[in-house]
Amino acid sequence: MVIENRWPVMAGARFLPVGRLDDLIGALHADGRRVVGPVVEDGGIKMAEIERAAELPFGWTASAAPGLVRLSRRPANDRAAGRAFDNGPAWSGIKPWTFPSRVDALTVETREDGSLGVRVEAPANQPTAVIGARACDLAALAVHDRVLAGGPAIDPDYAARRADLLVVAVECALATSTCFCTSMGTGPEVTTGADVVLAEVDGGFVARSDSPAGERLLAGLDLAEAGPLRVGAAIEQVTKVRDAMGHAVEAEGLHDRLLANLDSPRWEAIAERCLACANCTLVCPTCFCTGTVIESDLDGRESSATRQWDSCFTAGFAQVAGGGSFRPHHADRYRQWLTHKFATWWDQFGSSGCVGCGRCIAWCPVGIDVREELAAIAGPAITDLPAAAPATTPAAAPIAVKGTRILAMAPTALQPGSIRTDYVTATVTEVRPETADTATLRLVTGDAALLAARPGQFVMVAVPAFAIPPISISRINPDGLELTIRAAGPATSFMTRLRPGAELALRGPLGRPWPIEDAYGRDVAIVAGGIGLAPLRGLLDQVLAERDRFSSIRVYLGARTPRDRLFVAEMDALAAGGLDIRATVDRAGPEWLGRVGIITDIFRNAKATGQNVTAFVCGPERMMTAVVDVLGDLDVPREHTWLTLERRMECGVGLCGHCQLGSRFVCRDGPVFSVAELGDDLRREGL
Amino acid sequence: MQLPPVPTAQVSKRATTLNRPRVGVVKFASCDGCQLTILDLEDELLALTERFEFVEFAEATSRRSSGPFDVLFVEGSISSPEQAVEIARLRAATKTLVTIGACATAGGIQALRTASEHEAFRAAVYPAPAFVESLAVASPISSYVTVDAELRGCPIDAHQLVELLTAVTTGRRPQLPDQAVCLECKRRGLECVVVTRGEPCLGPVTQTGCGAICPGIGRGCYGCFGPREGANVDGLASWFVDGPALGGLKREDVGRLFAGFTGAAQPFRAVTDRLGGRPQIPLRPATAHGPEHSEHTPPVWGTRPEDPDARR
Amino acid sequence: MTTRITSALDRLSPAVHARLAELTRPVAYPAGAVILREGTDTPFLGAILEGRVALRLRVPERGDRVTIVTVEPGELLGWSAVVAPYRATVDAVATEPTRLLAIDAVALRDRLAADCELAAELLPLVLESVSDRLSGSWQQLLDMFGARVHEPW
Repeated sequence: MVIENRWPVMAGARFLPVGRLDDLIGALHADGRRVVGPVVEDGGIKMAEIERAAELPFGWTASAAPGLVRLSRRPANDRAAGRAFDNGPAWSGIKPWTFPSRVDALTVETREDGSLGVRVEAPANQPTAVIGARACDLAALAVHDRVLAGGPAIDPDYAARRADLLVVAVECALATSTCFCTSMGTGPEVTTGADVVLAEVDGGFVARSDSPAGERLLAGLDLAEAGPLRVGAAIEQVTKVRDAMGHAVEAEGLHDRLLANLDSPRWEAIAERCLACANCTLVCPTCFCTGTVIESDLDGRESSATRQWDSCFTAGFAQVAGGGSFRPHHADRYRQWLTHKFATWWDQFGSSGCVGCGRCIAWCPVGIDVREELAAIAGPAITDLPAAAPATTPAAAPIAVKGTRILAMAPTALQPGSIRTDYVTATVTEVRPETADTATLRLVTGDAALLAARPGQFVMVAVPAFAIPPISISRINPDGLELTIRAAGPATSFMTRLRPGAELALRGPLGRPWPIEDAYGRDVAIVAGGIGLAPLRGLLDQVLAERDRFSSIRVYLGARTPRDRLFVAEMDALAAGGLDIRATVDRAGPEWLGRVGIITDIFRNAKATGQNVTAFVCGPERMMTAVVDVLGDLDVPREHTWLTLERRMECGVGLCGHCQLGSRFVCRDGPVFSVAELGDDLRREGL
Repeated sequence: MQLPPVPTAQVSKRATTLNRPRVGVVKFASCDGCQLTILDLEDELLALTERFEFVEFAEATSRRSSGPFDVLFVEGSISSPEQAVEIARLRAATKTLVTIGACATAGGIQALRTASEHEAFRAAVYPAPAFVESLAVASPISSYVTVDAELRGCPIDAHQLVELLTAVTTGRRPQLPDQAVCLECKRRGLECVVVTRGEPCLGPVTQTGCGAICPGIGRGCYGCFGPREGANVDGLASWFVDGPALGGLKREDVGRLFAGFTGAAQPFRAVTDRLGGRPQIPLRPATAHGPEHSEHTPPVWGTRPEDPDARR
Repeated sequence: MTTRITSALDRLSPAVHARLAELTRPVAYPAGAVILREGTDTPFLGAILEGRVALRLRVPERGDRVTIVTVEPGELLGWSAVVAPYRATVDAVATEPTRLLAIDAVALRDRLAADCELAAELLPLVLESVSDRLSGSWQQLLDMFGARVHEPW
């Protein structure tokens, strides 16, 4: 059946004799492209820059099993001894060429005159042609197109590389035991995404074009028609590959089955074998998480930020200021990887994150097989499955999987490319100490986007030599912003000690603001713990400016001690003006005559129902969960209880992957969420 | 309330000879290889000496100093009673104490005697052991004094040292990742030697920082940077013994893999204890006298990559 | 979510409330008055009507006192009146002019021993007050707002 279906696309295919492969490469070179193809290196086949066809792995074949890859020379009497691509997908895939392991991102410097220079590095790319990409590679490319270039924030480096990429794909002639693209509906037949598709047959290649650029390339080579015999052989070959793979993963409904098994004992069992070495994520053609490395000169006047591949298997990946990691155990990290790849990826990007290439299986140094783990965690068992092949689906389109519940994520409705990724400078005009370790910086900027920031949003703040932290906006003035910063690490310590006149580089505003309109006509409760008042201060400004739109306004403030309270004079003045502000501190000296006790105590004797209340809560996560409990007891609706979460945010725009919480990117989809939206994820440890 | 003035970056002037931080490089039981690695920094050395005053550096200058030191790099492990006294004195004279190399951070190759017969080792190494006073264990510096930072490796990676000095001067946290060697290996686009050729490699359980040198020349990592954060050594060892990739190594051969330059560091040491393979020289029993607490305690400052700072 | 406060004793049934009223008298303290002294007998179980009472502990070696928690209108003060050895565990100081209903400790203990119905209604309120103090202390031990930077950099 598959053979019949594929006749139409193969009609008119041409024949490229193997001896003319160099003409193809030459044409690509003449087009100004570097050419990348599979080569044998150190016992594996990887993608590398090539000059001529002879560098391709002619005569090699490969076998792969969990944690085990072997190359061998085909014997001279083997029919495929003269073939270049009859050896499975290259282990490196084409990711190193479209999404390199290291990319210069940003340079920040203090100039001679003391002003700040910020330069977002322009993509440095050379037009590239890839020969030998497989169906799984193309499916992965389509996934990256959605992740890195199809969302509200676009990775400029990827976009530039992608625009200059030409792909000469090759139909697979060999399935290793780790291949399972048929299960994921991505192969082995090359359907979309290539410019030219080759199928290797005796003496050469059945070649067809699938884009205008590909057609120009083939037309220039002046090839003869392949004829039905060769086309038939090509189709038969890829069909055999399909049949050899069988059906190892039941993708239908996998999203729901996995998420229903977040507490499976299997996670702990995997953790005994899993080394958390990150190999699976780095050889995965769709994994896109990156980390930022800052290098500076000895004087701290200039620094450059480099973006490099990172992995959710490292401890630092989910770490926040103060040293705590949200995923301390290997089991947490494996769960994050597997559930993201096979489940929450659907929620985020409308497709699976897995293309079935099997690289994570073959290249796991201890041979952990995702197919086996998926069957154990989210059955049905492999052996119970019917052997029937699922329908092939074009890789570029989101794959519809019946019975999968996809969460509607409001932020994905943002226009592609609508989030800015550039920096602007702003000048510090005032530094107001708030507590021993916290200061408010008043900044002036003419940047229209920054001035249009809304309460609850944040900015990434860069100064030379330091990491680039996300800082929430504590007030929006007509001429600039205020940032209230606690010295939680070196960068923030430095910022709290700046002087008027200093410049900062800002990127933003980023993230989802407080939904103030949710409180129109309702009772507003603003609940802040410690530094959590900072992002709520702008909200309070706005609520007071629109006072008549709310039936009542109350502010509940918690702090560790009286000296740790923020904006004391401002809050006192508001209270004196009649605003209902209730403050408590965790402990105090005898000079403090106000309330002492944890913030939830304030609500202890509340009698009335909270059904008409919209609550905005910010503070340490532990304080927020306690407050959420109390508000729940008072019948404040979960969909009217709003929190802002803290996670490690490096890019701030949903591209680096660090701040994921289940299906959410906290930086982009939040940081403000309602308790109803978060559901069980709010309290789940290690997510 | 007054906040302290800005000390760095935007207001800092180029350092003069007068206020250059005083840096020392001292050694205990070690081969001096780490010091030589610093001297190999040909491109950066001049800038470093302009910016820092090297008041003591055995391999580079005959100048000696009794302190104080702003930054003191300590090479070597504590192997003799005199060294145990000396390190305490140096600690008192130092603001930021940084241990460099496998000896200083994990005990080094000489720590192999720790789990063996001390007298036997002495007799095997020295023709007249009576003239040599040595402790029964060779211990990392952190077993004796508080360590502010450590640079791993045998030898260290000199660029990590530059990064550390840069971080000290600018007031930021040095970026010394605690990830597996595998991350650097794959970023470099290297094949996995375990997977393609059944070569035992400790990369998955070893802290990165070397730049994946050994896999880069087609051999397995031998763990000279020591165990990484959360190293699952049992998982790796089991695969080496029972998995198909290596064709079933003998238990003691696997145990011996972990008994190298950082073999005294946990959890490497525990693997060797469990699987065997530790070099043994049988001889008469002897009394051990070492530090009160010989377990490695982590440095004050961890080896984590730079944290992002708190939002808000 | 208003916090209209009445006496904690209003949660008792009218019958029990009436029987307890015989042992109860209203008391008023000016700001600064010491209501309970750590280590001394607790004279009464109080239900705060108005004002604020700070519970304070002496910090060893420093001599000064730290406020651990304040007791607010609607809450009970002096659970130690019914828990042996009946001595106050903290100082209780009025930080504002404070009015409360005071139930004589000795008479209350006698009545609790004799009146099961009263005991069954009142003791849960006392336990709730102890529980609130305990969980509050636990939360403070976690020091929710006090995350520190450990690194010297």
